[in-house]
Amino acid sequence: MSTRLSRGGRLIDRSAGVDFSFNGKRMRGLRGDTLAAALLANDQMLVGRSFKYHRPRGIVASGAEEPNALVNMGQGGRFEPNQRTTTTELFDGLAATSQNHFPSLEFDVGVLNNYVARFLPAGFCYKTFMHPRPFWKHVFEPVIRQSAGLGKAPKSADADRYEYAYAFCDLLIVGGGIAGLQAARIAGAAGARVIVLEQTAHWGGRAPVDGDIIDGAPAETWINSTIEALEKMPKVTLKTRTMGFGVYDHGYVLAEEKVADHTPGDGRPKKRVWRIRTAKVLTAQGAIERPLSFAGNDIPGVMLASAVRDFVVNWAVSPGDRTVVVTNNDDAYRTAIALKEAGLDVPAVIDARAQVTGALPARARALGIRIEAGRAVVKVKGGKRVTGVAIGLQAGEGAVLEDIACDAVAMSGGWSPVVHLWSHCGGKLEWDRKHAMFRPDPARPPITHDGSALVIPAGACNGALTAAEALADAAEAGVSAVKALGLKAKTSPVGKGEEAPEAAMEQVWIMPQGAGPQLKMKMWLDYQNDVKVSDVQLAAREGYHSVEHTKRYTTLGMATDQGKLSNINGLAVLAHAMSEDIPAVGTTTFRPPYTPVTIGALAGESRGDIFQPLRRSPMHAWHESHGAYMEPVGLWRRPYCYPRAGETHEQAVHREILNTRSNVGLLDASTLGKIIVKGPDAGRFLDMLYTNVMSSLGIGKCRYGLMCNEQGFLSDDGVVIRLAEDTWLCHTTSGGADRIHGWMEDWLQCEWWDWKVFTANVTEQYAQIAVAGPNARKVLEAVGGIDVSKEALPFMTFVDGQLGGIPARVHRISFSGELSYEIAVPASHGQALWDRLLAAGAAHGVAPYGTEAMHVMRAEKGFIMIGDETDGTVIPQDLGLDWAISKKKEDYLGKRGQARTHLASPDRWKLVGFETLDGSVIEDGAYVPDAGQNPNGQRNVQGR
Amino acid sequence: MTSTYFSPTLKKGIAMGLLRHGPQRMGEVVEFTRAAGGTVQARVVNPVFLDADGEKQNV
Repeated sequence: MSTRLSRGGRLIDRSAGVDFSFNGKRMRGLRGDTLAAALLANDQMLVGRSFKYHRPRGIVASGAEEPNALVNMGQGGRFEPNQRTTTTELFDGLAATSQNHFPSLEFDVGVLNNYVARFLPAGFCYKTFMHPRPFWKHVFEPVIRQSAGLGKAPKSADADRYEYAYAFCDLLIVGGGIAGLQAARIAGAAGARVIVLEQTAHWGGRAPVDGDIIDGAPAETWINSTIEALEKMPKVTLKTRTMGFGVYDHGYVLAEEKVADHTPGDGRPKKRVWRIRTAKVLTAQGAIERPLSFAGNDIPGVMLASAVRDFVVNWAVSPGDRTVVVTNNDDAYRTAIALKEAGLDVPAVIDARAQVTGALPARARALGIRIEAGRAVVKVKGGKRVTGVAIGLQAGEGAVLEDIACDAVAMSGGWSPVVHLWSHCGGKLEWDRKHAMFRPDPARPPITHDGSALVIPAGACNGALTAAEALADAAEAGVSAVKALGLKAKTSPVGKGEEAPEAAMEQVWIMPQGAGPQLKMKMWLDYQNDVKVSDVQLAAREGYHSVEHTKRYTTLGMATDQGKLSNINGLAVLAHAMSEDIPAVGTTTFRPPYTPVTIGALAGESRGDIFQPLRRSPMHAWHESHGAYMEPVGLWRRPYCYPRAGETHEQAVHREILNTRSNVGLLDASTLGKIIVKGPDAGRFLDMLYTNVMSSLGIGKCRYGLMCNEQGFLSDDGVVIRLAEDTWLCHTTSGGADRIHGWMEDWLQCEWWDWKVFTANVTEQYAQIAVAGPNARKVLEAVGGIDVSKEALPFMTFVDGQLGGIPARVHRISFSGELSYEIAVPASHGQALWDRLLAAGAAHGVAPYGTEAMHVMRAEKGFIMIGDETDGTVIPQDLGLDWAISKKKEDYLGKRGQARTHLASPDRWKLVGFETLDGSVIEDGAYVPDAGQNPNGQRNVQGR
Repeated sequence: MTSTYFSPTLKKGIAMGLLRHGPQRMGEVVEFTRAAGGTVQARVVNPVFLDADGEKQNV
């Protein structure tokens, strides 16, 4: 059984008990425990059921790579599924329940799948649920849905809050092990702004557990003094509990910080997503141990050798009294030694290598540990718990030579550098034959804007697996990072690890190598998705030779752990089945996030009222206090009309129109989209975006333009003005500003990335007021400051100046057909100008008008409105806007689309006006019927 | 019907819409559907109902 040892445990506080529950059972752990450590301390080895076969599963690993020990955490608004027990810090009142079983963890009906497993191979669903067709919808899918998924989805709104934070640095170091700290000290000493992220709550990584010696003392001494030195450097920021989970273009890195994960309800945000811009990224993510593929390697009690060692050294928890170690390398002997030194029994180390000669095995031998060279675990015995192992020859086919009783198995198939962050932005890998692992290929790094390497790997994640190698590698990486930043490396203390040579490992992908189908059906590669050696071999036989296809066919590596333990073993098995080299098969693509990120954390503060914040014009408060009836326009609220006492909305609209047509009206047009387009290629760019020519527009002039999508359909319209030789300002529709800005950026970033153009959406920087009506000029003259005469400011021109002392741009444009000026002022001056215009206009009959009056007046003038006259199926030619389409231009977006037969057809419906014979208003959405019926039996129509 | 309003300026209903061969059918009377059943007759006209020459803003 697994239990708490009476001494040791470097991370626990024995004086502080912590109460928690698992499946309703009350348990007690210690402060500093992870949930996994506390469960093991309470002899809870069985923690879940597997996804497909519902096999009993226990804790395998001790960190982020854990595939099995996922639990539901919390209740109600704090319920969260699929939480890894190995990375969950224990807290008082923690309530966890196991997943994927019915009715209970101990007795699960779904385990029936396990007994028919031979009939549920890879691709079973694809092959089986094809026929009869109606069965999919009514029988197969409901049943599969019922049994699919691991944890349950939360049912109530998240009670926690989350937030974003932003940081900027020269060097971001991901990983706070000895390699990360070594590099941080070098970069910090050189004066770089450094941020170091560590996923756990502790610095130093594996080194203290592995008993590494640095500068002649235990690693912990060096780690503590290095942290002390780093804390004194003002430009160095250290962050624990923060997982750097994705590297993106231009040095953009995302990280998730567990702020109050372990102190729920204390008022702080549960998690914080850091959005970091850095010049360079230094990855020091370490390595992950690989399981070995032997029959029964998923039975609770079979764990990674490194995890066994972690539990013993960090938390004083022994997974079992008698632990058999099975390995193909020297490192696993550290586990055997740690167990022995903790007073536990190691009946044997089963070493697949024929010759065992290293220093670590020699130490183990000296401690009296029996070493079986050239041997394999043929199968693990036990159901919900390991009871023993049958051993045989690694070179053989599985004949059992001996049974060894034990209650835990510590396995090691070698180590895989964590190359995820290196790979996210395109870093390539090379195969290291000596250690049988993929490592970053220094010749093919992910590159950044200037062609230099964005990511610099250091330590174990760069294939430097021992402490001495990792420290030396990290020192080198630190210096090259400093150089890459254009800084000078200063003399600073560099830790030196004691050499601890290890004998070569041996590639072992199947144990024993000649195992038959019966054994291979019980060799798990992917624990979480229940993919076995036999499944991958079946996929290869069925022609899935690409590793990406095999992954999708078998679901290898597609679970929430993203194959951290299974990928290399899986592709080695695939390579073997196809008689290919492992590097020839290659890896699947590493994509962010490295570990699952809480959706709430990605949403951050964007929920509830601020999911889509209401947008208000600078005069919004005035409108509200003057009785405006507001309507939504996109996320804006705009005055629809300003009803006076006793007026209906309709009456108010009519009054506003008549007043504007006979006196003067004010419209808050601030919501109009305003996008500055600037650069040497701006004119060329706008000529492609608009259907007419904008490059020829004179400075100080305005021109109405249309924008179409590639299909030729009208998408947005507005007035473009030219501010300077290389600068234009494009007005868009109120609802279209963000979409059109995105559209511009889409073309600039994806298609015409070499065009020298910048865009800026300045919609909210300006308040804009339309002054329209026969008295408009008189009002502006009364405010004074700018000559707005017909001669000085002709139609379709603009002028910059001071209007009543307010910096203003006055455009002579009209959407109402009246003499009209649209005045743009800095947003903060909007209300002041509005007040000035009202005061100056009082003598001229000024009154504000709303969006409905604007709509009616533009309809009286036959001006189209995007969204009314257009619906995504209308081209400008349909609307009689041929005059706004350049015939001379070689190309514009939509030109080719509009040349298509159907769009160029003379039979298209085209814009006209209608007047009822009796003067009544035609109903919205009415159709003009035609004779006959269409093939669907509907009345034919000829217009709408 | 893409836009339809009562014009207080012209004191009658005005509308814009898309019609097959529309610009060639000026002056023709067509029938529009009504939600309550039946139809309403309307004449095809220039969509610029007011000040077609733009004199009002040309001052």
